[in-house]
Amino acid sequence: MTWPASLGDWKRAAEPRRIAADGIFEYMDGAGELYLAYRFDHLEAAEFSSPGEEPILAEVYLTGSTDDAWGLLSQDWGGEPVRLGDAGCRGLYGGGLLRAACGTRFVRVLAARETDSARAAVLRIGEALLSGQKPAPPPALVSALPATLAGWVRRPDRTVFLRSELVLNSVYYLSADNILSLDARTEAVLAPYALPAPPGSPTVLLLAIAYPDVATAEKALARFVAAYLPEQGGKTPAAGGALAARVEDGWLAVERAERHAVLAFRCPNEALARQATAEGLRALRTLEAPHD
Amino acid sequence: MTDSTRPITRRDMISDVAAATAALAVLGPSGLARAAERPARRASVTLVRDAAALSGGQVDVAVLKRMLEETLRAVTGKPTAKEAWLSLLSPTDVVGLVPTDHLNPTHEEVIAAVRASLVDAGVPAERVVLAQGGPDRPKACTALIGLPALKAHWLTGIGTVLKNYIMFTGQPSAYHRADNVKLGEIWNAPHVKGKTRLVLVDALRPLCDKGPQPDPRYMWTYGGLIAGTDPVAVETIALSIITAKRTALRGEPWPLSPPPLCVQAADEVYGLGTSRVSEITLDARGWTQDLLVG
Repeated sequence: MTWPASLGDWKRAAEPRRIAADGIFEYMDGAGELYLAYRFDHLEAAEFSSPGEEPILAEVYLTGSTDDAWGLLSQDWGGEPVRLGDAGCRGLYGGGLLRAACGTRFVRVLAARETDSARAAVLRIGEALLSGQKPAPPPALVSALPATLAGWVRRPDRTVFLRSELVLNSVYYLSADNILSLDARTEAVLAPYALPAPPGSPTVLLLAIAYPDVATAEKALARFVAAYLPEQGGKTPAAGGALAARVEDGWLAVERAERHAVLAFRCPNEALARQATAEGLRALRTLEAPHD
Repeated sequence: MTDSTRPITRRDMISDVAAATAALAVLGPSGLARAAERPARRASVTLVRDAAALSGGQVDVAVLKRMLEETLRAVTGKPTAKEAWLSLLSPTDVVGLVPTDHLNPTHEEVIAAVRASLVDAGVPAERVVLAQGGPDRPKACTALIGLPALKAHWLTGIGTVLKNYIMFTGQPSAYHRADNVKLGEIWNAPHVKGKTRLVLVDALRPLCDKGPQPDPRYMWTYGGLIAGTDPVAVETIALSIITAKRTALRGEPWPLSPPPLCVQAADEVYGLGTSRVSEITLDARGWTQDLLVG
């Protein structure tokens, strides 16, 4: 990819560094796992400087797919929405930090100190780094989710696409162990649903997972039930029905159809839990086979 | 899957065994008994804040020096910074300073202020070394001063005091997944155990979410130094500040995820100090606006 040498008063300090996946721990120990969780291949990084200003660090992460780039952005939907370039790449800006995803690229451009000049430069650098990329729709798994569940409305501002238990735990902790057997071959989305009023109402969480095949899905759910619902004595969701249980923070339902699984957490009653997984699976049945 | 092999889950966190979850995670069911038998402890933590410590993103070194001296006097009960240091270590020690060295690093001015203060106390300059890094670094030291920066961490909940020594293992990524609950064991490793004389947390501009990568939306000027000789107690106060800030930002409870089980484990499994707020006396001084703790 082509990096701009300068943008107005801002000049790139040196040639961009290229950091491959196996070198990411040296570059950002402790943060590298996040990008590996989205199948990142390598990143390029460079600093820009301008007289009288503190530097800007620009990073471009080349991920495994448009879904992975979208997933990185979905970590946090907060910030001022921005559209970059003629293609209208989607970004979020706040406090001097731009995060944006377009095509298979995820960019992170951070001004050490936010000024008007730095903000303008951050956005221009982001636009330049996404040049030639085309905005992609959200992952199919996300688009397939129902917008409402029995009057509960999905919150797109808290919906996260993921493949890794590390990312799941950073949003909704289930277990330090990978009890849902998530890996680079899986696709998952965690979506909260809330009642429209009053503000601050409790949320139900829907976790939809597409495993690579039926056998993997069966095994994964058996592992989950054994770890999370040991009182079920090894039961697994029966074909065409959910396994539902009342746990410490509400009703939980687990249901599977073919390679898809849907789990509903924190439901106020059993009926909603079962409805959530049933509707979730009905929506996922419209999806095609793994598209990687 | 037997009970002894069943992994710890969210349900354990919020059920009646929540108090012993960390021990359960590290030691299995037998750990519950050990956690229950743990003796009562007491610890003091000092928090000194100054609204003028940071101005326009720049550290005011004169203000910082005053804050450091007040912190040292308060932690040790000694009348001067020199006597404070000499009650913690000796001029014959090789003193290793252990800052957070990247991704929201400890302010250089904090490191410099501590170094200068040690030299003023009579520790020869060549015996004050930077000790963040692989196992050889703490091995070369007879005393350690933890100087982490206050930040949340997406893998461990909090990435401040306990995690600060992760490089001492030579294999930091081994503690990034399920084993992050065992961060405390690093402090008991032969080349580390017993060397830490003081933990001083750089809380001038903490990060309360998405760490370790910086995100300015979750950073704010707190203008503080948090210090003590009990690393778990210091971490507990640091955790309280981050948690309170998150709640304030969202306007509703926003607990850290994953939960920082390493803090509780450091207490109940590794015996490094206390994670129980009821056992900690907080001595908060200076700027009181948005204190978030105490």
